[in-house]
Amino acid sequence: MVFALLPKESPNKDGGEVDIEKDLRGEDIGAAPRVQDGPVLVSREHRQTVGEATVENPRMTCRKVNVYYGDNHAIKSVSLDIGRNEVIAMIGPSGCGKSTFLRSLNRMNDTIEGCRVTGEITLDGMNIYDPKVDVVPLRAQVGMVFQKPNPFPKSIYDNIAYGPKIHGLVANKTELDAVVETSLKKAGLWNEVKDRLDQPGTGLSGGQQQRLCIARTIAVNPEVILMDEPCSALDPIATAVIEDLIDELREQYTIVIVTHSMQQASRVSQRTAYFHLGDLIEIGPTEVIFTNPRHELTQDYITGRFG
Amino acid sequence: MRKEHTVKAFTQELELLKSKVFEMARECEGQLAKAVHSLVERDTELARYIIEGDSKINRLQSEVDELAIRILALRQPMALDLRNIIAAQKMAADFERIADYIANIAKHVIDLESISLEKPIRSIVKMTNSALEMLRDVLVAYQELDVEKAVEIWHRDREIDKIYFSLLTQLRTTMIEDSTRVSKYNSSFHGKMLRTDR
Repeated sequence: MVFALLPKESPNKDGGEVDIEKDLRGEDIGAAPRVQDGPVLVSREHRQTVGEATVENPRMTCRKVNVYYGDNHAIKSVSLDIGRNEVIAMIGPSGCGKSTFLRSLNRMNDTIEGCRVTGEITLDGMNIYDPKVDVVPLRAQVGMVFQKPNPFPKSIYDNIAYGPKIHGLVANKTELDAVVETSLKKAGLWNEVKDRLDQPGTGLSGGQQQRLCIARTIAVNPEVILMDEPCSALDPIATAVIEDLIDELREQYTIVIVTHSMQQASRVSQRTAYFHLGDLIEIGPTEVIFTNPRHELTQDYITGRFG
Repeated sequence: MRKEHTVKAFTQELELLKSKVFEMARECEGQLAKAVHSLVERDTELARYIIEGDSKINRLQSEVDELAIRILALRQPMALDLRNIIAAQKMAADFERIADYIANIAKHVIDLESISLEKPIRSIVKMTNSALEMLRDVLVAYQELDVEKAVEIWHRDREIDKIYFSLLTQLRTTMIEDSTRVSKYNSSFHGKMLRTDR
């Protein structure tokens, strides 16, 4: 401090007062600095997952999951828990395996020829790759919303009613009406469509169609909702509506979202997983991943240092 | 090794921001060196020059703020980049404040023109030299992102505090020994406070 000759109340630029005596005593410089906040990172060569992959009382668990497309090793021994009532975002460059991993969570990869999955994925303790598991109810329990809204070429009502009917979740028309109404309400679409339920779902705007698809997923009582870039075909306003909806749905469901928008991941998720060339590089609380990542590859990606 | 941003203009903006903070720091360094010179040499001309020079640092701080806000809005920086920008803004605010204090020292030089200050000046020069060294070293630490060096510099503050407190004791003794000069000190300080506090 060089300012010894100053009067105690010296003016600063803003006309505020600086208390020099307080300045001298105020700071405990003996406190240990938080050196881990410095630029000390796990190097790019390191491919083991950094961060806390497990959670207490998980909804889904993945252990040493490998996915192959023929000879292509698309997911390399990924272990990750998906917690209850949380939104977990999967980010990473194209081809990193995030969508492949997402699709292995409800066995959507079964439909792809030459695709092989090893390791263990459980939902509420049940191994979903057990040969005895029927994928139809599994995909109701773990629902999916796609990049482009894909309503059935049917009425708004039938888009929602179809699932509950084929899964035998309703006994009569009254019950079905109730399911349609609650699902549309939960998806934040009810007020916009309640007077035209008989009109085709394809006549809605893009954002409304996507909410219709979310309502359709909700109608069959899922536990987990997988979303594969649900807003990439939507304008910013429709995107904000969906993001707000995701936040509300979290109270009842577990949501896994794949997104290319890092801002979206940071806005909607509580945990973020970063994938790189089939490896799960880093997993952690979203605020940590975006403010203080521990792996150099994560840092490169989220700060826009690609390739 | 840090990689470059894919968007090169982003890297350039961050470098511009950093260079502005460095410019502020170098200005502070120069101002502080001049301030101690003006005090030792009782050079009121130089003191006035220092007071005028403060506006340049104020202007630089505004530029840092503007640029930082622009980058935050247009680039949406994350992680390390975000931290760098926030740190640059904080440092700019600190340098602006340091410059204000230096200008205050220069104002005192003008007010104390006719008063002999030999003893305290020795301590003040010592404090100034330590402070100058801290300023210079902290820039190296910033440039090299050297956390350990930064912590070491931070702890050096204690040395300056020690000199300051012994100087205070020394001044009190002087005032007791030669009370005829107390009113002169007082009137000059009061004058300063009335003028600058509005």
